[in-house]
Amino acid sequence: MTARALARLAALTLPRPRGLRRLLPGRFPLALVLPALLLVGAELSVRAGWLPANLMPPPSEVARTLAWLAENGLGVHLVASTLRVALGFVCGAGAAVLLGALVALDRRVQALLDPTLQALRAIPSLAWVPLLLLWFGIDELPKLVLIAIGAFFPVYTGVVSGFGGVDRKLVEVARLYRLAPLALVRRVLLPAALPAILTGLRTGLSLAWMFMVAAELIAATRGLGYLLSDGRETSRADIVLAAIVLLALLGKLSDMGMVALERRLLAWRDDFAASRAGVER
Amino acid sequence: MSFLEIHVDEKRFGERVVLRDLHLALERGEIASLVGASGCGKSTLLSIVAGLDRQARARVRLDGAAADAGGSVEGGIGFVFQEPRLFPWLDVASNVAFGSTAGAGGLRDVDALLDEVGLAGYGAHLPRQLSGGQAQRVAIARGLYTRPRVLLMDEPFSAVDAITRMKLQDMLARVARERGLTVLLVTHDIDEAVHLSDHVILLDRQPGPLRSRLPVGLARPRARGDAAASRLKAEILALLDLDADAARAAAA
Repeated sequence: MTARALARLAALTLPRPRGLRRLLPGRFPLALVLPALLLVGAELSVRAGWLPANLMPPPSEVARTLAWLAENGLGVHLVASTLRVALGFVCGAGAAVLLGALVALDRRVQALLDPTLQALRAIPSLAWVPLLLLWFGIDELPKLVLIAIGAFFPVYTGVVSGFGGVDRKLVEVARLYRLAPLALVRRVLLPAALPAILTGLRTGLSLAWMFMVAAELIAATRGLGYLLSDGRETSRADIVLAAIVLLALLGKLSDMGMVALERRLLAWRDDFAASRAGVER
Repeated sequence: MSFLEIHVDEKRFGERVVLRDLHLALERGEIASLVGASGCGKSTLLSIVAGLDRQARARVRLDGAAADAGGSVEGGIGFVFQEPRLFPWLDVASNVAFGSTAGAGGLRDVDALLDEVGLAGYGAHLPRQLSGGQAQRVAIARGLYTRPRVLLMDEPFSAVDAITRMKLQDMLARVARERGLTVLLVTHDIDEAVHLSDHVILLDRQPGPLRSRLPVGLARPRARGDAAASRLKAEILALLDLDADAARAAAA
């Protein structure tokens, strides 16, 4: 085979960069393209005077504010918010898993609880805020309860639909082997329902962050929601944007954790998502 | 008294009676095929024997004792479904040993079983990594794991291609012979019934006592396309009145 023919063959078989990829250097992650474009666009727009700097500080100034905050108690705010989300999420999701499993597995419990829980689900969760403040004051408890309420319903729905959607034929195999009720849950129902449960947990976690902000905006002396409120009251848009950036980063980090957990626990799945992720077949 | 005795007084789905006054007996090591039109109660009968249907008025006796303790019991009744019904989150070895209980030996025999069904070395594979035929082999290995004396099979090869089906049939014939298994097989495939069985049992669409129980009487191992087998197939088709022309053509 001649060198020319070899080159032609290589051109046919090697993957060629297409579209956007051709314009990007080396291994630049596609996920960063849009944020990078937005940052550069905002910086240029403010510097050119197209956007008012007092309302839309340039990213470079937001970065400076973040650095200043890091040296002036940012850690306290981060820890406070993260702890609230973690505690509220664990309580809300834990209760949702327990109640969801009971509702899904026992028709009498379902008849007793599900209609009421569905009615409660229809209430916009922020409507609970005045009542929670009346009941628990402005301390930590109302914040945790609000976050737990936010996390509860997506997880509850995921658990109920997950258990309800388990393939009847797999349950029949378990019945053939005379599995005791607890073994049936542990060995068949729970693993089969896991995809829906994890989706519920993921949605619940993102809602927990959302409700943490709502709770801290109302009454807090520390936390990212407090920073947002403080920035608004002192007309410091740079602090507001810095807090928003931190919320985005923390939300994304926790979501990445959930995705990693999902990948690990659901490696057995044979679906479109797994095939796109390049799971070995 | 026969090795496996099945008496179904009545089985209903709502108002519709599916099985009535049915008595079926199988000897130890016998392979019998249940053949009949769709909806005549073949699969329902297997569910009753496996203990999956508790509503039916029926009695099942295995080797003289009541067999209602079910399919998972060591030395009891195994079941292979129409589809593999493997648990996708378990690897092949764990699927095969699904019937094991704590302290019952864990994954004992799994490698030997996989070897027996032609899947040596596949223990760590996940179900999604298997072909349809391989998945059904795993289901058969799972059915054999509890060392059943009776194996119930509900159209186990209907979802695989023709070549795979023939290989699986030959494997089943070999395993059943080596283990002295009593097999009750539901099938729509008359060739399969004749190739595998000692008896072919015809189930009528009308609920009632069994209509026909035809002895196959061909020596094993059986060749495919054997003239005697073709005559028997024609006889069965005629009895089923499925296709009189096909039956006459096959007989000719």
